[in-house]
Amino acid sequence: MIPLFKVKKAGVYGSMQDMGRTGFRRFGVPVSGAMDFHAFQLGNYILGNDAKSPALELFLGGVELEILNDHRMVISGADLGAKLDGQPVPNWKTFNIYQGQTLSFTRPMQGSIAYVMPEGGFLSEELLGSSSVYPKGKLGSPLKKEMILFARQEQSMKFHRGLCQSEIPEYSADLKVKLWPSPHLNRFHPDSLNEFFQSTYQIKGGDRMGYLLEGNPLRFINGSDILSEATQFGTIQVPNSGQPIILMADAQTIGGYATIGKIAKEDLWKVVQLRRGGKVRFEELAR
Amino acid sequence: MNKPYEQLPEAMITGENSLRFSFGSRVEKGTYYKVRKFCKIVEQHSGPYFQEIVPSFHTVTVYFNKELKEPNEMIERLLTKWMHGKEEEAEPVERKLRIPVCYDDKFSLDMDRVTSHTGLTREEVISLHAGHTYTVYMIGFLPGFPYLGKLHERLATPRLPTPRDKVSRGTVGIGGSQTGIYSLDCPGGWNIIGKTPLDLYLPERKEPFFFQAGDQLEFQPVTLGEFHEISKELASEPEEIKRFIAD
Repeated sequence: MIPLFKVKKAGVYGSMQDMGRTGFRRFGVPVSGAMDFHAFQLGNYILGNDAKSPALELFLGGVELEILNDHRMVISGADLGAKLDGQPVPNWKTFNIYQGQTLSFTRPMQGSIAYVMPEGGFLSEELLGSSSVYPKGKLGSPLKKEMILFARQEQSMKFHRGLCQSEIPEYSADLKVKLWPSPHLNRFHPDSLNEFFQSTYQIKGGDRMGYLLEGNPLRFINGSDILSEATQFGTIQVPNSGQPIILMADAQTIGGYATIGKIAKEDLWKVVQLRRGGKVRFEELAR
Repeated sequence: MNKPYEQLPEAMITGENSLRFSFGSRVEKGTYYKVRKFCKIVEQHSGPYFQEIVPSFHTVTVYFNKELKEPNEMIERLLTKWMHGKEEEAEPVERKLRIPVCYDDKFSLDMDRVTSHTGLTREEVISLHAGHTYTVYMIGFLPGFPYLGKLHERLATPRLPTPRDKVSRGTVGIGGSQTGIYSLDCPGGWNIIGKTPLDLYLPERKEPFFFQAGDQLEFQPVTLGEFHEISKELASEPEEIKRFIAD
């Protein structure tokens, strides 16, 4: 157990996340876990870590970490303008860090969520079988000033590794994504459904619970209220305002509003990387 | 004996790893019994990639660890098991729980709203609320938060015009025609009529969640003194919550 980072600035929102916490959805506990599971997996892959090793997930930046011990690490996901002692460091490639240095994340250049992980992974308490932080359910705490993060083991001085250029994901701010159809489509006006699939929506804001969309409002035949039932990461819920909400990894496990579909897994990690103002269009999944 | 065909649930593939089965569109016991029985069938027959189930009033959503290559085959298998399942095999067990609730003035912040809306006296509100068995239909909204059926219709009271910023855990409330218990501190707009000393959700307890779908709840009025006694006991012995399970 190696003290690795001391949090000097907590930034917008940072939390430890892994593959998520399953088995408790029927008790109202969401799966949580890395929002951009693709970047999360690639990060652990670059380091040769166990695929389930938790990573520090950072939203948008504003974070400053003091390095407490020499180590080796990688940043995957969004480009949040990472700097080591003021010098830019690249994503998708291992680099060394030394005691006394400061790693900072200034502002988002591309995408919105980045993952920080050391070689060998973080050592992080597991609650209900996962290290994924879900503060609303008293399961861990988000990043706070003075918090210390621990690496599981010392660095092993292996070769530096990185991802080849062709494998590096690009985070577009203008997406077209596929939807699994919802069982509630008959709640919507048929014209309104057609319009939905021809409209562009903009991200108005959001967090690990949900991303709010803004655009052509959907119209209902008889309101949006339904008998509550299961929702999941990627479900698009439409409350009575008609403005869709994409339910994210920490969203509640059941919902009482009509849904219009679930974003296909292959597109979901791209959607979570959208920032405010990012654009998204939808198409029905062809099966 | 085979069940008649019209009782087959409506099945749908709702994602790479999820199937949804719907048993109608109403809150009623008959529908819910089917939901409970189907959950058992799913647990027994959905194969190595089965991850978990989320039941609701009228649906069963099944999640898998891996993307299903042949989701339609899984649907066919589960529906066939449903059709040919023997009644006694799938008979769900329902636990009976006795939930102490203190309706003292100290906790029943909105009792006046409820009495003036319903035209009942305070004693009548308490006896109607406590003199009834509630089914836990599902859990969600917050970890451990139960959706209960069914509130006595005379107790129905509209939600507060402005929700409170914080309602403390254990608070018992009435919101429209629903009643429930807040499992964690959170904002809330229900009319507060009492509080239970039990922690419905305690992540460090052996069984973190006190309720499960299908539980039958009875609220037992307790005095403020008894409330504090139970609180104190559970604070030192959290596992003792077991004694509120009747059988």
